[in-house]
Amino acid sequence: MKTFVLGIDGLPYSFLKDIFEKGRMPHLAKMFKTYGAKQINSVYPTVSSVAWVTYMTGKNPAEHNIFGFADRTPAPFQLKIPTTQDRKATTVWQELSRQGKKVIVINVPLTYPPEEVNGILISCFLCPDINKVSYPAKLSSYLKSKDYIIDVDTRLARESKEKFMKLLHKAMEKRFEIAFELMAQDEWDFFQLHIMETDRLFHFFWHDLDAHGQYYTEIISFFEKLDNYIRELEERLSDGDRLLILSDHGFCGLKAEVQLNTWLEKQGLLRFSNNGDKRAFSYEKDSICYSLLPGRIFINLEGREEYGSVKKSDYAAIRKDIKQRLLGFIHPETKENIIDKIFFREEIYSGPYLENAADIIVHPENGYDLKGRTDNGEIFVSTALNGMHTYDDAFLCAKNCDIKAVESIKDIKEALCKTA
Amino acid sequence: MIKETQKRSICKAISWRLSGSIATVLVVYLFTRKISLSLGVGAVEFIAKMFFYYIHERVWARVHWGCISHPLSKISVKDNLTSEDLSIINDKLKELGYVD
Repeated sequence: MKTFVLGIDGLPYSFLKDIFEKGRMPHLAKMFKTYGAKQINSVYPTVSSVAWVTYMTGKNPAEHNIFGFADRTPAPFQLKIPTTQDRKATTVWQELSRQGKKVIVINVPLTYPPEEVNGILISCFLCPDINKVSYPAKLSSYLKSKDYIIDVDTRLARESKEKFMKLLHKAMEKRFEIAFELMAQDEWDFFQLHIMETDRLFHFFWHDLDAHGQYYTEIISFFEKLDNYIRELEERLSDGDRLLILSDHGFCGLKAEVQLNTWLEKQGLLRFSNNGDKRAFSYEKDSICYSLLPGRIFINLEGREEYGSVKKSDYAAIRKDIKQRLLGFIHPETKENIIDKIFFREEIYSGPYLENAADIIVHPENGYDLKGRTDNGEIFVSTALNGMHTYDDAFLCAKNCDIKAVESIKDIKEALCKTA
Repeated sequence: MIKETQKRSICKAISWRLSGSIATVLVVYLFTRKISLSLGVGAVEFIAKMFFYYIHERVWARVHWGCISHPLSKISVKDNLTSEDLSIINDKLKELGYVD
């Protein structure tokens, strides 16, 4: 029995229900009905890097050590981009490789630099160069000959949405084309293909999802194409093979980006010197805390942070104070709450890397995406992005795999391994 | 399996030869009571045997027999990231709004 996992980044369960009713994705709709599907939860913070590493390891962030797309070392203070080298837990394909099973993995977030597996691993959009994208490295010439696209260039979305949409179509076509070829040519027991284009589409085209939207036709055509690929994929598998199709988070419309550091500054909790330099967290020693996106607040703790000034004895009281303030954070015009949930790190994480987690993890209300800029001066900002991630609207559809116990993306690895 | 770097092999060769050659000088002197001959033999031996020891170490470094492997040892991350790679990644994440 082989296992194929199709990851579709950010595809919401509620969106699928809606599009099924319109009769637009009949094959996936049929699979939902025949094999069973469910709405599942993502992770906190709700970003693809954390979500997919949680999926691939079956561990929480304090066990796998990935907490966001950007992270920091506290002393000396330095921002860094986590990669495969920072991940501290083994993945499903590493475990299968050790068991002698053949694996093929394409484009799953946070798989760069590519690690050795018993098979093929084509890493993700973090890869800067197609010559470095795969294990084994020699596969890159094949990918180049196929015109493979590591990731769409999102700068194009700001120049021409029409061209960007065409690129999204092309990138998805290339991924399926290569996946189908490798499925046919290579030996494999476990295959994972990841479609990133859905995330990019929802970020830049959410406001066009309405039937009157300028790019509505192209969006529907994109999902119809995806549905046809899903049909072809199922046809290429045997009846006894396992097929899992899932997303890592949902999506909703974006009302405003919220610069949490600017809010902290206006609360008097984050301070900068009077010389106007607010770059790269050149914050003053007497700051209480700072934030990294999305919604991760670090207390400026003495003995841990480079400029730490908050005494350990004040830590608990300060966290409570910040939580209270956040609960009262509302939009000045609409009076809507900005914050949905506030967690102290030990409430949602446990494991050996808990110390690397933010002290407070803040989850916003749908529509308000938490960011971390320090140099803008405005709390509420609009950009070219008009869609944002949601926590409780990912989905999982599974053929020949028991997913009754799966409630969140973290539970899937156990379900996979139980029947592997 | 733990891999030994070339630098470590060279350092081990030097320290081993220093202690070995001191022993040689002492033994030759014990039998001949000639200081210059003892030092001469020690010097030639120091250079020649250090070279052969290094070759011997590098050959053994390629032989996996007798080594206990960690189960994950065959699954490793490929190349380290260059600063240029990191800069490209950072720009890409900025464009997507994932970093500031």
